[in-house]
Amino acid sequence: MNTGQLWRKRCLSFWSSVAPYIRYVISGGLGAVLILFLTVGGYFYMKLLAAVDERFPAASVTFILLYPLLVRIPLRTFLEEADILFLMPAETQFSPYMKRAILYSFTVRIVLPLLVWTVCWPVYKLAKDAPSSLFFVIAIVLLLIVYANVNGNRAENHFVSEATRRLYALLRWLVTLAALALPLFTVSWKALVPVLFLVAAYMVALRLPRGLSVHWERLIAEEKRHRAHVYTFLSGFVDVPELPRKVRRRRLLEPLARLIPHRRQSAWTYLYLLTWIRSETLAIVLRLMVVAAIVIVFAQELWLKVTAYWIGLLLGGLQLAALSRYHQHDLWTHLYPFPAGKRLSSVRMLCRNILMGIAVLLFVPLAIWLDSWVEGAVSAAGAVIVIWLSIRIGTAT
Amino acid sequence: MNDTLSSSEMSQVPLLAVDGISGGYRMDRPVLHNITFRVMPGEMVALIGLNGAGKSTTMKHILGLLAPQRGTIRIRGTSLAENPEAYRSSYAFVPETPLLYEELTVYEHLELVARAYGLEREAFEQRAKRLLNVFRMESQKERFSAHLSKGMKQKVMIMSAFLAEPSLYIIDEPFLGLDPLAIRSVLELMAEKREKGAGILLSSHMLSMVDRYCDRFIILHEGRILAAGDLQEIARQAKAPGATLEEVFFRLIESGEAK
Repeated sequence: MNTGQLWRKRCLSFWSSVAPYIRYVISGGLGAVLILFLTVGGYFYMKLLAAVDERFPAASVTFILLYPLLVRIPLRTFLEEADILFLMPAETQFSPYMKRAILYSFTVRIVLPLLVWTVCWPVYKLAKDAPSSLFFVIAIVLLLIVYANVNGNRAENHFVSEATRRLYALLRWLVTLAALALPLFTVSWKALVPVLFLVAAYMVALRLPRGLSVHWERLIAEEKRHRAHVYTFLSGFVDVPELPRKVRRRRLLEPLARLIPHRRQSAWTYLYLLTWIRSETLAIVLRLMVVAAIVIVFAQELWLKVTAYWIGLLLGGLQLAALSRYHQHDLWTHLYPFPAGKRLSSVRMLCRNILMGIAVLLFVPLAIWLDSWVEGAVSAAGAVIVIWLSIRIGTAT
Repeated sequence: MNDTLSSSEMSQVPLLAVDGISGGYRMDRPVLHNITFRVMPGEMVALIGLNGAGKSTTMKHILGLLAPQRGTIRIRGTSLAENPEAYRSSYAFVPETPLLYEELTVYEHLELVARAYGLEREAFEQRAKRLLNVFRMESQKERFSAHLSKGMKQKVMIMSAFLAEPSLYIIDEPFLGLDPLAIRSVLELMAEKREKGAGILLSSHMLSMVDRYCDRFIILHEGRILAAGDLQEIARQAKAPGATLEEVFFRLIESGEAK
């Protein structure tokens, strides 16, 4: 069996399943957001460049921007559940498959760190008075780090013992930290030497523990997760039917479901509240709210604070409203006598209540800065309108 | 939901009335041909047939997942179109393959079903406790469905159905993947509900089990009813008086093929 060819076929079929959505993503506002982001970002970047001097912590900032991109490198294997049955017999012939997977992950994942580094470089050069050659030195270091991380990820996925896996993940994080920090903070090409040694030693260490040649179940689970990431991103712009969902328990929030009265009319609300608590949507909304809260606290002018309050609620509402796309075509709701025709209105009511709760919480930091009750009333009235509108727009069918 | 019906109702209104159903997935190629049968209160009826005979398709029509091309289906005198909520509240369905929500634990599934049927909290808690006990699922009740074995998932579907205590149970291959204790529990529960006047429509390949527990049998072959009635009646139709259900079944299928 030619497993290398199989990998290529799998990769192609994944991208052709994603391709139709790309059009929607671009027309769905990503293009506009990107242009806006680039314009605003470019403006501030120019200002930064003009103001930067040796006091600017260029190495730390670059490190913080790059590090998260380097340690989270998934291995795309495109494996499917049925492979356990149908491909496992060919396990011994799997090395071409895995080699392609590693090469692919490396190629895809090197782009962003290099791009970020290129953007950071002018500032870094100015602040550190670095020689131009250092740009390439660090680019090479980035290549090495990504290579080590892809291979490290592959190895970790094959260890049988969970403890070994954790240990090696920690090792990878530390090696990456050292290999990135060394050249950035010493501002010297000489750092390349210890980095080379470090990466080489790490690559040797990967071979030490015994592992399965292919850890099917874990690789399949991993692949599922990455697929879910891609589809979650796409679903921000368009309805993606094949979206597999990531579920987290979040025990602390479970008592919220107890608040829903135990009666027939609230069956939908109960289902959707639990879905929200355990879905990715909750994390997204919370992150948005934290950002809004930070802007509210630290912005200099009142109008900026109020705008951040409203925009935070607007974006939060639009994200929350995505809940309405869940359980739309579930067989369950046809098998059991859920209150007919109440689905959408239940979701809307739930989303508005959640958003109202968030609005009240966010109002607290805002209220400190308000000088008069008129300002308070305007902010609150605006919030109510934003809540109503964002859910309405977000759940429009 | 009534678990007990008045005696006059019991004798007159069929819980399920399927009349002259033809249908399937495509207009030009019906899977079912002129299917007619009844399930009366206090009756356990078995749908028997080979793979692809039309058992699940018949059930899908009853559930309203497929619309019949001809014929009518009534549950307690109501069709789905006339009163969807009453129709859906009158039965509980156990599908062949368990379908569960990824976001919900075992217990939350039960609670959701209880809400959908409008079951009071106390009644729900009582019944849930008993069912969890009967199916030995107490230790699993806080787990997510994704972490359950196939048999446990099936148990969740079965518990959901029996939790509601509707007047009609539609059960597709309930024994697949269940452990022997759970199989016995399902059978005992079904017998108990039948005692109380509920009707049960069951499809299964386990003929020896069906033979012992069911009152009437409907033998489906290639979308048509080959024979229907109690064991004596279908044995007579198969021209094999005194034979077991298994023998009768093989005979009928053979003669059906011969036609």
